[in-house]
Amino acid sequence: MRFAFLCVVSLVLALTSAAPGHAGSNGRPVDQFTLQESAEFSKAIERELAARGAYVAMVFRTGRPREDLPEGIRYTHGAFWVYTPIETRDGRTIYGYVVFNLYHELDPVTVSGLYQDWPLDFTRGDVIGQAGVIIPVPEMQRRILDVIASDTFDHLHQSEYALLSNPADLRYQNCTEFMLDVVSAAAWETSDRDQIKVNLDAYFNPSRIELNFFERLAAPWIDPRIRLDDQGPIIETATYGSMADFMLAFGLASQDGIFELNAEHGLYAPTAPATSSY
Amino acid sequence: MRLVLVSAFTFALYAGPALAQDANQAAPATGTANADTANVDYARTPSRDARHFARNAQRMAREQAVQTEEAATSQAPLPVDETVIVTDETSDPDQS
Repeated sequence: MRFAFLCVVSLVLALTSAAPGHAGSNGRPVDQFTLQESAEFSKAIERELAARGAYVAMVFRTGRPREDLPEGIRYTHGAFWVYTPIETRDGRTIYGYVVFNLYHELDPVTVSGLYQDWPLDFTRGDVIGQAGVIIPVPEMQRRILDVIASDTFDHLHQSEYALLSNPADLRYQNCTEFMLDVVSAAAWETSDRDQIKVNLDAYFNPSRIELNFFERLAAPWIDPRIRLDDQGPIIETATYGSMADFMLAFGLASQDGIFELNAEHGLYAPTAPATSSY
Repeated sequence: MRLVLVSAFTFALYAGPALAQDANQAAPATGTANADTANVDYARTPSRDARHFARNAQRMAREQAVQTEEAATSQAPLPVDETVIVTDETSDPDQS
């Protein structure tokens, strides 16, 4: 009895410390770095994308240290960066990038919305000073822009949010799965969500996360964003790595268009991703 | 029952933080952005109200495609302004 009581107390303490509060892929800044540093990093990403002539790019950042992420997952949020003229309030026109995101809401955290914000908002959620980038080939960029500029973009959104959503299942969606759905709509030139899921089930190789029975049982209790009823025995989800592999395999992106940018020591030289599979 | 509790405890320690995206300790924002920061209130916008950005990009990308085809060149670099747009989003108070 005493042992069980100690276990319960320990469990509650552990869950309290491990639980995420309400921060997540919700766009609230984390501000691990100074505003100046985050601004410089955001501008460095913009410069790199612009130097490569990218009108649209898929950029990823992590709001958690790498050692806290499950194996095979390098980033916790991704969004489309779109190059465009921007009117400032003082009447100037500047050229830079705007960011199209799927964010989950703060309350309830199991619902998401589509929001446009700015590069600095993106890097203010980064805690390691690294961004993963996929620049689609020019034809795919034009097709993705066609989707973002149309009603299809909203049509592809599933507002029921799950942190580890299954990309081949319609029930839930997270930010990365939404990006994958947009890429798929552009690649197959369809807005039919059922067809997209059938195609992804056939052609997309998701990242896999193994949880045992007890972990699956406890996970939704720890974090309400973890909803696993769209998953089979092994959890499958879309990640930067699996999307890079997919886009490379089907010619939607080239090897040169897949890289990571590092903010460390103020150096922004692009490097190949550190893992063999991105 | 013991097994369930111990397993859940272990999982909470191991996987809780891993799966809790972005919930990291925050340092308060200090310093200032670039000197030429456009320090105005560009709030986050629902994406359907921001489609004009994508349409402008669409137009420019198509024009660029025509030029590239005519000149048989690769993707040309794009000019980018040094202005950093700052919103009024504050750090998560529960994270500081």
